[in-house]
Amino acid sequence: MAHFGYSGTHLTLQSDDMSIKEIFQADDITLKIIWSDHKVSSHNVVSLRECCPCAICQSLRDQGKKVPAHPSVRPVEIRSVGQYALTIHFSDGHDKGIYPFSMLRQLAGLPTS
Amino acid sequence: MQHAADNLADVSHILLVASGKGGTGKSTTVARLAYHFNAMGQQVGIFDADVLGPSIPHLTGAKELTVEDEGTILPAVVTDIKVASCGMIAGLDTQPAILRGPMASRIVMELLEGVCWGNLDVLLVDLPPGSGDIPLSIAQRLSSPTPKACIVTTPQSLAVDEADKAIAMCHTLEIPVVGLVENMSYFQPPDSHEPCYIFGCDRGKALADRYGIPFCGQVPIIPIYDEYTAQGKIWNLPANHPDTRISHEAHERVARKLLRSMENGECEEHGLGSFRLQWHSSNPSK
Repeated sequence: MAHFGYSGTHLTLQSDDMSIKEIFQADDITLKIIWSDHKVSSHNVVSLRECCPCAICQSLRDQGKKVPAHPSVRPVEIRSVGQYALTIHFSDGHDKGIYPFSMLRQLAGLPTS
Repeated sequence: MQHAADNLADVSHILLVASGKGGTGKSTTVARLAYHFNAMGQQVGIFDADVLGPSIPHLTGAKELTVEDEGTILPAVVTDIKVASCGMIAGLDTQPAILRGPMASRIVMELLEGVCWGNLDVLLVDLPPGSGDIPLSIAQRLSSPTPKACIVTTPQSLAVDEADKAIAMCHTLEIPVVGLVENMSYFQPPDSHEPCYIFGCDRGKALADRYGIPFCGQVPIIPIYDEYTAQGKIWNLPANHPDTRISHEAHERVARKLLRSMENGECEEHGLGSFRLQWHSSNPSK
């Protein structure tokens, strides 16, 4: 997996071996991921909507506002982005967030490298 | 209008053609490879991602994209090859694109994913030089099919050093490099059978060997390109000209090796690879 980080003024790329072995809908509200290191993470999809990393949602959080995530919001479709992230098209129409694998693992309390 | 990713759903291979350094003849190589892939019976498309210096329209004579009423963008079709270039966007066809990186990469991605490519065996993507926003955006965004890369370099040390960085970029982004082409390797004087290695010899092959990348061959300097690319006739070289024979022989050899490498050299999948998961909800909400 590749992810970005800033080192001084230079954009650097780091690589590790994180990848998804399996991803599936566990129940109406839970996304489950089995990682290449055999660890498993469970994600409440409403929480994923709340912590959407897109610039618009981040800007709301920066202003101290909460991202509007209705309790009944659900994914419509989840797609891979490159080899390092996934994107979720939610039922409220929002589809801008790119969720890096490292972020998903961090949310689940798993080591990120 | 189709979903962006659906426009690439029927593309079997995406081949990113990168160089590191500008001026290595990357766009000419893309155009000639497209011609020979097509001659081998492949359905081929070219996407020119160099928004700041698009060459493909000049080389191929492709003029316009067609935007249908419902917003579908259709590529130009020249000699049975589908072509879309940032240089074919109204406003960027005659004026220079003065854009910061994020805007440039956004335009490129919207066009690449917005064009209805249909069924293609190979989509060649002519990347701009370097490892800036545009190559990174394309490499990171595309997941299905997993893109592969071909590196084009000239024999000069300067170009080979930059090609080395392009390979490193591909490795970092986990894009398999399926071939390296050494362009402008030598000059073949008309009155001699001895090739003249003006810029050095075999540095491209040495680079490919160092990384274990398939070396797809040397392409000589072909003077006739200057005249015919200026007229948008890279695919209409005169049949009886000696340069045409040299061009055909060199590029056909490269195309065959590249196609074989692309089809056989599957990347090592560490995980699931690309995926699409439909959510089944009992009561989806707005």
